[in-house]
Amino acid sequence: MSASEDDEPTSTPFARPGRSGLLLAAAPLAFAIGVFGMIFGAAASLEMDPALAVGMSLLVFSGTLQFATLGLLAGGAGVAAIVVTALALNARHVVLGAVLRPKLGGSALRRTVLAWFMLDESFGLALAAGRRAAFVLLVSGAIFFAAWVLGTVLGVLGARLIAVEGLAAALFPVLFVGLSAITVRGRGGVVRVAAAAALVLIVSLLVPEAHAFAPIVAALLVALPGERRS
Amino acid sequence: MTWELIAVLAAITYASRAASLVLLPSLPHGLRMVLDRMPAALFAGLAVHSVVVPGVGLVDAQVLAATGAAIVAAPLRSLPVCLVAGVAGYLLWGLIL
Repeated sequence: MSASEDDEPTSTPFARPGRSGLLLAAAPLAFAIGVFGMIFGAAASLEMDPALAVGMSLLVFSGTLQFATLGLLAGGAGVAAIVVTALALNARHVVLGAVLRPKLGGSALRRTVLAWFMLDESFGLALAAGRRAAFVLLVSGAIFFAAWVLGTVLGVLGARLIAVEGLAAALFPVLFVGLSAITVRGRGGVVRVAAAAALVLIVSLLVPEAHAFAPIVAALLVALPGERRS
Repeated sequence: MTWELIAVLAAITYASRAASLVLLPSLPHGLRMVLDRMPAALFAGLAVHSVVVPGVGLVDAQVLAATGAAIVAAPLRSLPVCLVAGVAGYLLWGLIL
């Protein structure tokens, strides 16, 4: 594995250059996030006050954590279990931020604002956008935030998209496959992706207690081998 | 669920996003290379994470069909194409069975 093979992205996720390309790439994701939000809102209103459900989407803005919290609440888990789950699931943000940091530039204040909009989907688009990373992170993140909150409100109000509810369960893995596809670099990257997927599968099946931590640990393990210096 | 717990979860989530994006100093080249290799592997791990029921097995076949279709489309390196392929795989499986 050479350094250049690792460093060079092989294509862009945008079908067209410029803002229209960004909007075209973000639109289907925003729709999917809106559907997730709607399902979250409908499910959350069974577990908590509707105002809390909307407040959670406004303040936490993390579908993975919010759905995990709902599952824990439904299973009767306590505050400690929810907080530990939050720490485990959010650990990936530290890695994603460290990867994106050199591409953003600007002042600390600017990055403080941008941090709010760094979720998995906007990170993937921003990383693939190269020099326009900050702009893409801001615009796509703002669109996804609006879709998430609007979806939650509609779900709380009783809106249901029966036709796509079953499909929503499939959208999480599909989105992550897509994000992996646009961020993978070189053949070595593809090998690492396959190795990380296999590791997570094995750990999740054999050591269920490590399920929440498995993705971040596997990603670190497969990232260590290879060239360290240019 | 209480407002206090929501505030804690919000603080943890935002802090995790801001920690390295705002506070991290410039990293050594070697460490940066390791970090650069992590996102794609991390997302692949999260994809598997969402199709596994811990200690039990895999989720239902229609979700796996959607995931498989997205993997087939992955070499095109387009998020919308993966999304469309996943939806198509899901619907196709539903039509077949």
